[in-house]
Amino acid sequence: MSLPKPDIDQELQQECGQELAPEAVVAIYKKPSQLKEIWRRMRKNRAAMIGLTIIAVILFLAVFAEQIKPYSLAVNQNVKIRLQPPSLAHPFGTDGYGRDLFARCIHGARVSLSIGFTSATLSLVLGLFFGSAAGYYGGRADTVIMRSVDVIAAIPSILMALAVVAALGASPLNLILAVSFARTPAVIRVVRTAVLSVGDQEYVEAAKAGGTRDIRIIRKSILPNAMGPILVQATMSVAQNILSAATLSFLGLGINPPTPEWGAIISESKEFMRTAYYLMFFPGLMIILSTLSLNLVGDGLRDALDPRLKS
Amino acid sequence: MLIIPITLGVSFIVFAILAITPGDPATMILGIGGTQEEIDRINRELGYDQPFLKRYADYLYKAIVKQDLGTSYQFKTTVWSNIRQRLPISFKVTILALSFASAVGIPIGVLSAVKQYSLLDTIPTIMALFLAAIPTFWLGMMLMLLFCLELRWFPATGISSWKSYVMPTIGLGMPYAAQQLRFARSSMLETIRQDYIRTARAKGAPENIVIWKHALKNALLPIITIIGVNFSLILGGAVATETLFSIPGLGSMVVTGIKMKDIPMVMGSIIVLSIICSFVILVVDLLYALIDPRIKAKYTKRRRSAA
Amino acid sequence: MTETILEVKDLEVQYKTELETVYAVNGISFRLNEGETLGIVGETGAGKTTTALSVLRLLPERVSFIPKGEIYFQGQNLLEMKENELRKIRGEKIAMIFQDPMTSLNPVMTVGEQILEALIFHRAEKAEKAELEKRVDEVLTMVGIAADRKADYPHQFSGGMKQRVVIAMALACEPELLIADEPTTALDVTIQAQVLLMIRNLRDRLKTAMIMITHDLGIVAQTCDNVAVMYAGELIESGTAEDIFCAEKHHPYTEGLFGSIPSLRVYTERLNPIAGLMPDPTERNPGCKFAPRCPKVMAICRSSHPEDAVENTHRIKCHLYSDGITDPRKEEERL
Repeated sequence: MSLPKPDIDQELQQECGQELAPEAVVAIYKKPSQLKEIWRRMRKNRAAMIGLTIIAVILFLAVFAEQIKPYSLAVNQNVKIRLQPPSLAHPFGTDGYGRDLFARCIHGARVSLSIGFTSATLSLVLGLFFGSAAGYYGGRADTVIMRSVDVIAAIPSILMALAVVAALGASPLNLILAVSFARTPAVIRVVRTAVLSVGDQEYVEAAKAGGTRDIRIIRKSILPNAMGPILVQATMSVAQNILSAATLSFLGLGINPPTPEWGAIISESKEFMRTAYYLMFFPGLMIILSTLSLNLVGDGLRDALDPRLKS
Repeated sequence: MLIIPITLGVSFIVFAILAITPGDPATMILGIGGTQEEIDRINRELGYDQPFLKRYADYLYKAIVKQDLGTSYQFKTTVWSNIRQRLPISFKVTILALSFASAVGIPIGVLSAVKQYSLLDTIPTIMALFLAAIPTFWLGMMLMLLFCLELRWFPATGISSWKSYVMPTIGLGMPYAAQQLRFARSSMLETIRQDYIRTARAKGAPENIVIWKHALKNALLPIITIIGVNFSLILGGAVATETLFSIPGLGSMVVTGIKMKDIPMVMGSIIVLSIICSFVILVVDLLYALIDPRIKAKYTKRRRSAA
Repeated sequence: MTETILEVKDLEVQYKTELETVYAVNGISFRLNEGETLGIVGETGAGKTTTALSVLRLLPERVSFIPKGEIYFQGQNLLEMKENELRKIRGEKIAMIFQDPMTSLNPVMTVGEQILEALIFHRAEKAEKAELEKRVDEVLTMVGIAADRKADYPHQFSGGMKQRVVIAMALACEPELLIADEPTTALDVTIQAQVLLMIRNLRDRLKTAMIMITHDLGIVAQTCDNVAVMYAGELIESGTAEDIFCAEKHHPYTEGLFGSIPSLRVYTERLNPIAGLMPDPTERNPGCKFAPRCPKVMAICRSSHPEDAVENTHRIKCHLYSDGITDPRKEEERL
């Protein structure tokens, strides 16, 4: 690998107008060039780029859903045009109430993706908090947190989500809580391992010796360097959470009709399975494509962050 | 011995989550229109006026000493009898799907690692990527449509004969087969790169002995752990499959239980399922130790020094 | 007249990845006679291990290529051999001891099984299983391990003991050529001497030809008849042990190697390492590979690749000796 190190050194030194200690130079230019390097490796990974493109298209559809097909088409019933097969006017066809399935799918993307991303963010926040506490402090904090994680992880995540929904009732907010709560143990484990792996590095020791506050050390020194595997886990979490949320909605325990959500749309399509298979095919395809593309991006990110793993 | 704290922990967490249910169980039993007196009486009978920890202790005591997990609101029979009736069915579905996933995923994964970069590698790998992204309920519906409704090869619902299990097994097992394929492949690739594989070749070992004797044994060790984890994922995933194919297992009962606000039923089922999962993961860990001489030695040494 | 057992002619090995090509070995030639020992010396990354692995054709598949060269073992070109013919040579006629004993034994097989296996591959038709078992005990005893430990797994052995097992495995079939790739590098210093002594004694007893790969000149001096110094994929100097250790004229790199060893007799303020690093193996420059680090560099070194200067057994690849290596003393004698 030929990084243009000397040039950057010189530029930096010229900018600063003085000679920098070599360590200082390393510290300053390490970050942007590292990101650039990761991005460069990502770009070479065809699968990851396909994934990125697909997820970008789905995100685009979700963001501009209103401009492409107004929400009214997705919820207003029109019995005159019910159960029409795919056509130019209705690319995915219409459902049993005469609603445009394409409109329902792209507005469903808003719901499904927001649930996926919000719940992943929530479990990431919880995971970062407990995981870095366990990894950084070790000792009793570690034991208590990790034993609890072991217990929670023993409950299959979908059953855990079901328990939360059973207790709180089916609603979008509860669905997010349920899904993210079920995912959190896995995130805690990954964060803890990542924090442990950088925790005994010298710059952390140096920060500790310098009397820096723990929160600051974790935030400034540990987490940025442990971010790689955590980021991969977060990407995969979004995919997994979309799947879990769709499953709960399919069971009628998540988002309820008429709100368009991919799992809920599939659930509704059950009664027309024989006559209008496209009703379950397209929302399923949306789930598969978004999960697949997020997994591809996650895989690509992992390979880019740790090229050793690639053969 | 780890099973006891985990059992306690699991039941406590499930109990705690379900105990915050806003819906009043007495109202559930009486239906709307029960008088306040009646509601209070039933709450007292069921112990709902007691503090939370006391209720958990009572629940645990009854469950362990009397095998009594309470009475189902919807069936008016004991939760335990319902579980005993339905658990074997869920268990059967899970074991079938897990066996299917392992029987399909592991050999193909190993093979594609051995034939890395050939078509035998790329095709299964790409398929596995897709399959791992498919929700089990959707795959189940597609299979049901094609093989049960169109071709009429298998029944779409119920558990009337062995044929009824074919589609649920494949629908539930397929995404996990994909996952095990990917895992087996990467484990095998990792193993093939090890120095001892080169040593075996340097001894003049024929290629098939290198792969099937030296590499496979080492590559299978981590796969065993994944099988344990997948058991619990499949048992959980069975909820959707059972509901879809109308299989009277424990999973579908949890779903109806939640809809009917049948809290004792839901609680009992989830606790039992979770304990089974943690038990299986524990057994798999022990199995791992038994097969891996490195860990086995640690155990026997400890025992030796303890004696 | 001793016969040549191994001859390598103009061997080139490259590793190709998506991003770059590594020129690991660039046209090396050497010859080894029966019963003799050749030492290959050089820094990490000089291509020593690659050379050894290409003799056994054990280079990693797909990424490694041998665009040029011939390797003759007892007159047969190994590079043209089919896989099943090679198998009969690996372990039976050419055996290898690897650098890291920690990772070169299969963790889930007992050491006895692993040694027995080598015998089964090559002797199963000629001998009963019980005989082979006896042979396992024999070789284990030979390397100083009690025979009853053959039921143990590798993790139950220390590093030095593991390397003894690896050696036992390599010698089980009494090979005609033994390749030892830094057999002591991964071991503690005290164990190093023991293992080395053992390898030497066994070699003498079994009259095996040997290639000893190392970066330790001391080991070379103790064990080798011939020495080849490797730098950036080339043999920059080769000859008999006397040529390398006693002659006056050397490649500047060899001089540097000797200069970086502290002497007990002469007081040195500090060590004299060779300044700089080995050139990037992904690049090919026209000049001498050592030119950027060479204290005696001349203009020609940067532009043209030097040829071997030869005197009897002694070869040096350096422009300094383009008129011959002839020792000034000897020249005087001749006059």
